[in-house]
Amino acid sequence: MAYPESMQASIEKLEKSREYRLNQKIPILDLEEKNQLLKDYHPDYRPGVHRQLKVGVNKGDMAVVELANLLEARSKVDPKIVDLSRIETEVDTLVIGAGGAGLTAAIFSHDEGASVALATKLRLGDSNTTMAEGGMLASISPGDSPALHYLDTMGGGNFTNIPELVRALATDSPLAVKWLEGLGVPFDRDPNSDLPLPVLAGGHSRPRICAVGDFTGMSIIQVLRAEVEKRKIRVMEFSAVVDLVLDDKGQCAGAVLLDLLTQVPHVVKAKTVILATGGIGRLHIQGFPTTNHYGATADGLVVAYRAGARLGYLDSIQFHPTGTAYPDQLLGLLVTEVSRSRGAQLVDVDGERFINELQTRDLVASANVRQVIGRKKGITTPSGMQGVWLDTPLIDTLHGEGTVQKSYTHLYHRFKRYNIDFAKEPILIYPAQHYQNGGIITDDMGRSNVPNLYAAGEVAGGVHGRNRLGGNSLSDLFVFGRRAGIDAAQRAREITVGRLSLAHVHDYFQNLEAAGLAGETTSPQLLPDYRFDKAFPKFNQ
Amino acid sequence: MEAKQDADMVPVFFYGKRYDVPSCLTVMQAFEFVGYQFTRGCGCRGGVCGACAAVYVHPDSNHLQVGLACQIQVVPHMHVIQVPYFPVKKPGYDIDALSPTTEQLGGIYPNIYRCVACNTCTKMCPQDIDVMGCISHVLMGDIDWAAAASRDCVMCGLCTSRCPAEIPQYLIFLLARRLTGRYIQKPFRNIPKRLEQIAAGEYEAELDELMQMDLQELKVRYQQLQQDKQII
Repeated sequence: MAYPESMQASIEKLEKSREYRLNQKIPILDLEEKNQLLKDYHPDYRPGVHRQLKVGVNKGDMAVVELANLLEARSKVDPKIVDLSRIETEVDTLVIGAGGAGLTAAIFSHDEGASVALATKLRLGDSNTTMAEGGMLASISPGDSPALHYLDTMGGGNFTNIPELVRALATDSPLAVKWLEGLGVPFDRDPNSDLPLPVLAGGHSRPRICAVGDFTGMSIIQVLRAEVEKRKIRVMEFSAVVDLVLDDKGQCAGAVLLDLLTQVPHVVKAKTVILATGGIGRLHIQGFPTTNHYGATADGLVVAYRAGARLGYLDSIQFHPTGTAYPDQLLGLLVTEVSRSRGAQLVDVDGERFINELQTRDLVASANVRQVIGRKKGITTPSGMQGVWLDTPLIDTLHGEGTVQKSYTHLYHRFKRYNIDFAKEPILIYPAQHYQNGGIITDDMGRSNVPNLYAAGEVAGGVHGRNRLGGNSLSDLFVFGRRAGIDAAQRAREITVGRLSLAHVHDYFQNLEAAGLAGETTSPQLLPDYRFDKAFPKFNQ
Repeated sequence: MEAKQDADMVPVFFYGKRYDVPSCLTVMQAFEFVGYQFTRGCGCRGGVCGACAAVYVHPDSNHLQVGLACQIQVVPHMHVIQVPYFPVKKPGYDIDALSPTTEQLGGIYPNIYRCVACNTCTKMCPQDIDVMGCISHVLMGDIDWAAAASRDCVMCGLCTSRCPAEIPQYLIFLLARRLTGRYIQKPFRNIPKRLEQIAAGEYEAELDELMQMDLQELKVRYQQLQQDKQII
């Protein structure tokens, strides 16, 4: 047992209440109760966490403060030093970001006949996708349908989703699974069953989870990376976008990429640009730890905004209910929702449950906050972090001994390194920032309002509304990565690029100055700073 | 707030240079604590991407030790480096045109036949995979054995960096997993039917209806569906 003495008493209560809890049914909340819980305890609703944007397309809209500060900042690379006549490479489609959506967009764009360059800030494949654990979702079981998937997704998003995008997601997700299956992604399958995993994800009414152990994202990224490499698509690693390039007709015409290793800016000229830059977790919204990878700093949002793209839902952040709360070395790391799908329960310091574990993420996260902050029934670790227990040994009780070790090999390994065997002991969890619900608004082919600028994946917004359902993000990447990739390649055949320009960057700077906002901050941020005292993981409750 | 327990300061050696760091930090955090800002050598920070693979020696042991810098705590007196990249040839292949056999894998990665069974690869694996066992099974034709046993591979490349036969173990295992997923495992049985139904427009009417429904009615429908969750 690796848990300190101070945490043992609550574990004993948890073990005592297990039998009762096994048969305990907790009803789901009605709409009024849901709204109240969110208002009272969801971190998005705390005072002072948002502010109004004062410049740009979304002027007047509320955005989380950390993002607003970057949207309203000067360019990282002074446009005056960028020589637009020196073109590093010229392609039909420039994809920026090489996670699930970016890799998919590059593959489909290439296969549609476009010349493609794929730029990424870190390595090919480095992304939030890599860290996805529980699975992607598609309505492939016999008793399911895209219409039910649509309805679940709309409801999960509190009906704020853009309907056409949800329809595209629901309709294309089965195709995405087939595509990945054909590429050899070894989804877990019961050969005797028509069902994907015979469990429900949070907020979903039918079994939809197509998973590879607890490392679905990693498994898919490895395959898609190989498919990009095999096509000899030009890949530009450690090449971070710092601004988009437009032309004199206002079309998106490429990007300025900063080589992170040499600090040299390069210009890529392109007929179409697809932003697939992912999420924002490493901005540490409200000081929360994050489940996200190192590079999730909202770069795509910043450069798109400067180029005139409309964004949406900038005040809506998803906090995953179960981020790791102990040990400190693993703070914020994701514990998959599928643990709850298989029966793990959330338990407070008195050994009691307090929420139906398979409600949508915003509700379960809020309930965890309520239990700790509101009702003061959390468990405290030696460093002061508080959380609640996730009673994972129930998984083996319900599904047979060995299920935990077989189904969650990565998680098991991760905790075992710190002497926690979560087949036999609970895990301490607390909400961690996980996903940016909103982003660049697009149509159902990924087109933004800036001509020839596309967005796909987490950087795009609207398909999930104000709360994403678990599993829908992976599906989103492949559905919209494919649509944007194909459409961009087709579009590239029809257009000619005019004279390249960074005038929009100058104009944006004028607007900042006029609004009194032209301070020291430059953006995009590119990487978080964890040097010196910041090396100790921060947390907020 | 910071998760900062009272920790001793311990000596560690980064690329041979001594620093004193808090003992509670991971290797990655310790590098950052002394002032490094990673570009190479840092990816997911969660143990799945292989970017941060670290190799170290320790005065108490005659063996090289390995780990993912984001996952392992510093060990006092460790002499550690990272190996963020090691060159390897990546022949392209068409998954549609392959079959799960030793000959196919060996045709793409011929160095596999030079394996001398030294087990260096297994010793270098930060994920405790039986790397040599996987290679042996591939050579014997048990592609799905290797696929299953290599599932935790994060493709860090440490194995191939020290292989005297220059075998790209992690690439071979990726192909083994793909061949297993594509040719040995049975596909999801219901997908072809569902795709037919979608292509035939079977769901268009219902989707149209849901898209045009007024919000109140949509909420009611949703609540009904949520009360009717089924595993079917």
